[in-house]
Order: sequence, then structure tokens, then C-alpha cells
Amino acid sequence: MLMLDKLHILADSAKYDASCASSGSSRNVRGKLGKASVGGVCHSWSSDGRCVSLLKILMTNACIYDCAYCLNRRSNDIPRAMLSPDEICELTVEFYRKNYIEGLFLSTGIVKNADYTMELLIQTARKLRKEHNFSGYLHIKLIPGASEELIDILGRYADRVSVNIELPSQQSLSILAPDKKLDAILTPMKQVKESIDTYKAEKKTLRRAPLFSPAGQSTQLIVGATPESDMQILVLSSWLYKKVAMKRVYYSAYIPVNNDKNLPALPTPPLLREHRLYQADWLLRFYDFEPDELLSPANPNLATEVDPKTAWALAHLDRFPVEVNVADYNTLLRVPGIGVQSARRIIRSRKVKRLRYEDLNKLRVVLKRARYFITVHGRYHGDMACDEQLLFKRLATGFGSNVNSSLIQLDLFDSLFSDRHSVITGEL
Amino acid sequence: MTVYIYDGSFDGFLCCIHVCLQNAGDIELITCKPQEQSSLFSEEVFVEYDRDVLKECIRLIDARLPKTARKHIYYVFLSSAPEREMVIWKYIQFGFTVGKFLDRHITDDWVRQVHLLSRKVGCEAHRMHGFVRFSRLKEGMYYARISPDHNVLPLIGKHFAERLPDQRFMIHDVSRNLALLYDTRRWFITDMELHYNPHESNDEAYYKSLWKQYFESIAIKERANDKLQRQFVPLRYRKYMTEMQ
Repeated sequence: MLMLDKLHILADSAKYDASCASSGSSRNVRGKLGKASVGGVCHSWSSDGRCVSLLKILMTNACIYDCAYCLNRRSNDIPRAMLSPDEICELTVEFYRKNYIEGLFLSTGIVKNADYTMELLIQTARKLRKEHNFSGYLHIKLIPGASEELIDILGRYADRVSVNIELPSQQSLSILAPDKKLDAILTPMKQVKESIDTYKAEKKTLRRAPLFSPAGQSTQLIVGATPESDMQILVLSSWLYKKVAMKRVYYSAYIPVNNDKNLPALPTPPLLREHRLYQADWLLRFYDFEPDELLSPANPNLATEVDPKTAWALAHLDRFPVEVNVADYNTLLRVPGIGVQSARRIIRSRKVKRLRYEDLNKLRVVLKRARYFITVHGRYHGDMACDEQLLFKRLATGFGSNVNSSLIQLDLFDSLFSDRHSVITGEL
Repeated sequence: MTVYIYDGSFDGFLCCIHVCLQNAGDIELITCKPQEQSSLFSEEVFVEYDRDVLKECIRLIDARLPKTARKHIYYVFLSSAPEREMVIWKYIQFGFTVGKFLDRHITDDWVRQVHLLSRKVGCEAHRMHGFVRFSRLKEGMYYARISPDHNVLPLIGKHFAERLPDQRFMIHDVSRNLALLYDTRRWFITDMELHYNPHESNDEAYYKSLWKQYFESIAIKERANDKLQRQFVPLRYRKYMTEMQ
């Protein structure tokens, strides 16, 4: 089979992995080919608006598993291809030298068994690092069920490792992915977390502690293929962030690729729901929110009309309006229309000057939303009362229509960040 | 009213700033372009580069302004905003009155303009880290064309030299006739004639076709979103990007 055809098959099957991040690692060995940039670099954007940072391919799309949602399931009659470790190395190095990519994101179907597949991945990573002296970004998938030793070896070569949780609950997994067990997914996550902790501790005392997945681990789950609520999903994410120190949880709107009696038939992928989940995810990671502040068993799904922070603010109008000249950082962060960057700007600039309403524009506060939740010098600048029903209507029409037309995808921003600072805030 | 003219280099510009700081008189304009129509009432002064004056100017800036100011001044200087010299001058002048807290005055119009331009230049430099596309030439060197809005070549040399240490390359800014050259030991910027017609190596077409194949295969049709793509890769950058041809 021609390389051109292999590349087509294996990139086409890899495209449903949302992650394209090349950030979080600062691997830099003098004189070697390549260097990881801590903020990540996006090299292009494909026609779906998702960033292209890494050469994202499967080693093979042949698989012994038969997961209902997956294009590469065993029972599908599709062309199969496989790249040898040498072929993957050649593509990566040549693409890297032409500055097409930041590195490699290698995933794969399972051939023979978990350990055998992992060994092939390790062979590829080792060749890249040792033979090609490649020091660019490597994101490699862990195979659930692979042995601890193999995971440990792979983690030494990779900048980021990941294992996809795929579905938000054990029940859904057993219906749609009968070969996958939640335990087999969570165990490697926990192992990776411990190894990263060890590496971080060693780094403090040893100058040349061996690296272990310096950019951490990430995971992905499919939204809309199974009946879980947003609440269940966010509780799970929050658990992953806290307990296994996950760097990112990616949400992937379900796109039907197979006909299966256990799968819903959706006319279009639930992109807006995915978008709202990402917004809520940002609130968990950077805005100090807890899942139960955003959702409750009585109200388990995020509103589609307004963003989750606005929804929260409307439900807590007793806390508003806040005075921008005195409110502390955490209070400012909870105002719709004020983000991490603008909250910092407010704090910085009011140290030298009392802020006027006109100044807020210059600090890039989104007044369209923020004006209803703040006072400046004690004055309220909204053109209507601080009333839940009225505000909901006002903010829903303004923002909701905006989203439908452009379908902003926050998941792509990860690689856009230009420095440490923006890695934290999610803004360039 | 005085019009100050400098040699066009950043060092020359700082010398000019130093002269301006010493002379309290009204400054009408700082520029590197000879004025076509000189006004009857203004006087023209050409400031020459002088190593000691430059040193003194840098010392003053470091002593009186915040640490971040030097970066902002340099970045704005690299921008192609026509009024960049005067914006920097006003920023420095204001900085000398408020000192180390200069960059907290985000609501001041000059400070804001400096931050805005500095950010634009920084963002474009970052974009170029991703958008540069090298072709391998017959003689083994790698060659890329770019045509950025601002003069970002001085900001991207380090990045590429560090990641491609054993690779001779040239990044050609065709809109400014400048080229960044790296010879596996050091990088520098030089003038470059517009009509450079490089011969690509034989396997170049093969890898280009692989890359394009990859680029097309990785997009999810069901999520097609041209508008979003345009937001991230504006059309003006696509001319020299392999996958957009």
C-alpha cells in the first residue's frame, strides 16, 4: 500500500481524538532536533476549525475490540493499514524539519493484545528519541490493560500520555464497549499520577531526574452517545482533575460513525452541549467553581441559552452587583464578562487609579454581560433592573445566537497559548 | 517644534529618544524618513548613532521604567504602525513621570496603545512559529517565505535555531526584503533581493503531498467551520502555507 493511502486511512481514523495540545512541556536538549515549547505551538487549523499541532495518527486501525461508537471496531468492513515504527519516525522527523508539526500524537488500535501493542509504541518512541535524537513533543496513548512496567517505560519517552475514558459511566461502557473495563482505564491513570508525583519530587533534589510525562496526562469522553447528564460528566471531570491530576479532560460531541442498535441517531453532533461543557470545565479549573454550584440533581443539565457562569450568576443575584473598585479577585472572577485576564487587569490598574465605567472597556471587560452585575463608584450601569427573568432574556438572545452562528470551540485553545501566563488563563 | 530623524535602526532610535529626553522643547515628530515637505516653522535634527548615548539611554530606561518596558518598546518598534515612534516616545515620557508603575496604567491611552501594538507583534511572532513552512532545497538548505504584517524576523530566530540546530535554513520576509539566515552555528538577519528562485530537492513534492493528504484527512466533515478556521489562519497568511495551496 502506498504511504499516501496509509496516511489517509490512519489520519482519518485518528481524527476523532480531540486533543491537539503541544503545551505543558519545556523539553529542550541543546543540539538535539526539536524542542517542546511550554505554551505549545499551533501549526495550522483544519477546515473544521480545529488546530493542527501534532502529527495525529494511528499506528494501526486494526483492532481486536468491538466498541460500538468506534469507526475501527473489529466488525466494520473498512480498509486497514499499519505503519512500522521506522515509517512513523520518518514522517515525524521530515514533517518536523519542515515546521509542519510540533511533534507526534500516536494512538492505535489494539493488535494481538495490550502488551504487544504497547511494545510497538515503545519501540517507536525509543527510536525517535534515541536514533533520531528527536526532542520535540510526543503524546502517546496508553493501552488499557498493559503491564505496569511498559507504562513506566513509555512515560519516560513521552511528554504526555493519555488513556481515554470514552464514556462517562461503567454502565455505558459495558453496553457500548463490552471489552473495556472502567478499572482497566483508571488503573493506568493512577499509576501515571504516582509516577509524575515521584518525578516532581525527585526534580527538587536531583538536578537530572529522569523525566516522566512532563506535560501530564489527559483524557477524552464522548458526549451525547449515552444518557448521562452534564452533572454526572462534570462530577467525573472534577474527580479526574483532583484525584489523578488530569491536565485536561476533552469532550467530544458524538458523531455517529456506525449503525448500532445501542447508539442514538442524532441528526447533528451536539456541538453546543460540548461547548457548554468546555465552558463549565474552564470554570472548574480556573475559576474555582465546584460542579454542585453549577448543577444540581434537580437541574442536572447546563442551560443552552446562556453560558454556565451567567446561569450561576442569575441564580445568585443576591451576591450582585459587586463594586469593581473594591471587590477581591475571586469575587471579580465570578462576574459574567470578567475573565482571568480582565480580573487581573482590574486589580493591577486600580492600584494606581480609581476605575471609571469607561475604563472597563479598555481593560477588555465584556460589558455586554458584566454591566448588569457590577457597580462602578457605586453606580449601576445596566439599562434594566437586576432581575432574573428580564436578564435571562436579555443575555440569552445576545449570546445564544452568537454561539449558534460561530460554534466557538474552546477545546482548541490549548495550543495557542504563548507563555506560562496564558497557559493558566486560557487566553493568548 | 522639532522633527527628529534617526537612521532607521533600533539602536539609532534609542539614541534619538535620548536626545529628545535631554531637550525639553516641543517634539513634532520622530521618524527615519526624510520629510518631503518641511514645515516653515519646524526645525529638522538628524541624530546619529553613538554607542555611549545608546548605553546611557538603556541605563536610563532600566533605571526609571519597569522591567517590562524594554520589551514593549522593542516590540512596538518592530510593528508597522506608522506612528510607532511617537507612541513609544509618549509612553517613555509618561513613564518618566510615573516610574516603575508605568505598566499598571492600562487605562492611559499611550500605555494602552503600546500594550496593544506590543501584543500584536508578539502574537504574530508566535503565529509565525507555527506558520513558517520550510522546503528542502537541492543543496540541502531549508527555505521558507513569509510576509507578516510586522517585522517579526528578529523575534523568531532563536526559536528556530534552537529546534533545528543542525539544519541550515533561511526565512525570507518577502514584503520587507529581509532574510533570517542560520548556518548551524548562529543566526542573523540580512537584506535579501526579491527574486530568489530556489530549486527544491527531489523528494520535496512527495512530502508536500503527504502533508496535504494528512491535512485533509484530519478534518471532521460533520464539524466543518470555515469561519473559525479563517479566524485562526487569516487568508493573508495562507499564501505560503503548503497545506493551503
